[in-house]
Amino acid sequence: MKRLLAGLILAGLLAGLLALPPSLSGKGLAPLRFPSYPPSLALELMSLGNRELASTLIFYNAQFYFGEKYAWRKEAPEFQQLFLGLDKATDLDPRNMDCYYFAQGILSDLKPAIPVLNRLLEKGMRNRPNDWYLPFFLSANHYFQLNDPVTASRYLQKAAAINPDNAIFASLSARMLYQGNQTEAAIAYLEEFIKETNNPSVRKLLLKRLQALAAIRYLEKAVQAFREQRGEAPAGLTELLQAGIIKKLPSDPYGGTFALDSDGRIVTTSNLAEAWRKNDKRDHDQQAQ
Amino acid sequence: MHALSAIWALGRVTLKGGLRDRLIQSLLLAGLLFLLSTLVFSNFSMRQPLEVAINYSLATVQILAILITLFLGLNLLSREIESRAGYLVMGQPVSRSAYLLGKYCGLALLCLVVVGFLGLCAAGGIVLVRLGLAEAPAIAWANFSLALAGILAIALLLGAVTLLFTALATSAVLPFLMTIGVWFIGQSTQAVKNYLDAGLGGQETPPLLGWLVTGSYYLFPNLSLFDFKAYAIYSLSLPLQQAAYALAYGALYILLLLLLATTLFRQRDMT
Repeated sequence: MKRLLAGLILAGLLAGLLALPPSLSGKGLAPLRFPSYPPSLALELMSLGNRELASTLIFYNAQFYFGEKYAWRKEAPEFQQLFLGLDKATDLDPRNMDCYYFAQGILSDLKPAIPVLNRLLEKGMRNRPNDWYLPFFLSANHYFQLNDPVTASRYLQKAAAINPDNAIFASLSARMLYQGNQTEAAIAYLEEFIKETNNPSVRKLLLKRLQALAAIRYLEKAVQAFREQRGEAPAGLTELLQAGIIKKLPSDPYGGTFALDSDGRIVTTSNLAEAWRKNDKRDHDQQAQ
Repeated sequence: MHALSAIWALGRVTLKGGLRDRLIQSLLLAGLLFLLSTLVFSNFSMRQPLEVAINYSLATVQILAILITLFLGLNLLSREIESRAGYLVMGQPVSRSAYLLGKYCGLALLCLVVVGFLGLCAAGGIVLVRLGLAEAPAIAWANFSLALAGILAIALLLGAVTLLFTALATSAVLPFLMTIGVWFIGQSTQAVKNYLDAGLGGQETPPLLGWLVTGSYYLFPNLSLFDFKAYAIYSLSLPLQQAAYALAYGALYILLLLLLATTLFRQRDMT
C-alpha cells in the first residue's frame, strides 16, 4: 500500500513537471535548427539497406521542423537547409512523392528557390513518370515565377499525357500557349488531345476552348493579311471588316469581345475567364484532396 | 545414421531450441508492436500513406530478421560449439560436416519462421492502413512477397557467414561481431562501387581505394542485390531477371560458405 502511494505521488510530481510552461520546463529555450545531413552516399551507407525508410525519416523531420518553427514558434524556417534535406531524401528514395509535394508547398513562393526547386521536381519526374503532379508543379513554377508560358505549357502537356481525362491541363496549356503567342501550337495540341479524350463533358469543354482558339487564329491570319496588303497593322478589328478581309467578327464562346491590343495581339474581354474560374476551383479541390 | 536424416534431425532440434529462446521471443514481440505502429507512422505522410506503411513494415521486418539471425547464430551455433554441448551429438555417429549442416538447416528454418511471422504481421498492418484510406492504390502482394524473400535471403546469407566464422573462431562473440561487420560491408559495397564508377567523388579515385572497393565488392556478399523493397512500395513491375540473378547468386554464395565452413570444421582441433 505504501509502495502504491509512493508510486502515485512520484507519478503526480512527474505529471506536474511535464505540465510546466515551456520557459520553466526548459523546452523552447534552445533555438530550433534543421540538421545539416551528411552527404547522400554516407546516408545510404548508414541506412544499412533501408534507403526508403531513411528518406521518409528525413521528410518527417523536415515536416515536423517546419510545423514547429513556422506554425508554433512563428519563426522564419531555414528554407535552404530544408531544401538540402529534401534533396538528400530524394537521392535516397527518388520516388518519395512526399518530399516533392512538401518542397513545392513551402518553396514555390520563393522566387530565388525556383531554379533548385525545379531541378528537384525534374528528378521526381524522371523517377515518377506516371505522376501528373510533378509536371503540373513545374508548369506552375514556370508560368507564375519564371514568366515562361511556353515552357509552362509544355509541362502541362506532359501532365495531360499522363492523365488525359482531366481537362484542366489542356485548358490551362492552351491558354498559356495563347498568351505566349503560340496559338497554332495550342490548337494542334487541343485537337490531338480531344482525339484521346473519351469523357463527354471533358470533350465538350475542350471543344469550346478549341472554338475560341480557332477564332483567335482566324483573326491573327486576317491581321497578317492586312499587314501584307497595307504594310502596317490595323488600328482595330473593324478595319479588317472595312478592308473586306473578313466578313464578320467571330464570336467568343466565352461571351467576351475580341479586340486588338497595342502590341497587335488578339485579346478578348472574357480572357477565357469562365474556364479559368472553373479550373481554379478544380485545382483547389484537387489540392485539397 | 544417414547423413541427410542426421542433418534434418539436428535441424529440427535447432529449430525447437531457437523457438524456445527467450531473446528471440521478446524480439518477435517487439516486432509485433513495431508493426502495429505502422498505423501511426504512415499517418504523417502527405501523399503516400500506403507506400510509407509498406516501406516502414518491410524495413522493420528486415532489421528485426537480421538482428534475430545474428543472435540465433550467436546462441545456437557459436555458444553451443564454444560450450562443447555439441560433443554430445558428435559422440553419436554423425560427421562434423553433418553436425554443422544440421545446425545451419535449423537456423535456416528459424529464419523462415521469423520472416514468415513478421511478414504476416506486416501484411496485417498494411491492410489496416489501407482500410483507413478513402482512395488507395492496390497493394502488389507478389512484389511484397518478393521483398520478403529478399530479406530471407539476406538472413540466410548472414547465417552462413556466422557458420563460417564459428567454424574458424574459438570464441563465441567473435563470429557475432565479424558477421555484423560483413553485414555492414555487404550493404555498402554496391553503393560505394556505383559512386566511384560514376565518378561522383569529383576527384580521381586513388588506386588503392579503387582496389579495396573492387576487392570488397567481389569478396563480400552483395546484400543490395536482395533489396526488392522499392518494387513492393511503389508497385513497380516485377524484376524477374534481377530476382533470378539474386537467387542464383545467393544460392551459390551460401553453398560456397557451407563448403568452406564444413572443410574448416572437419580439420579443427576440438580438444
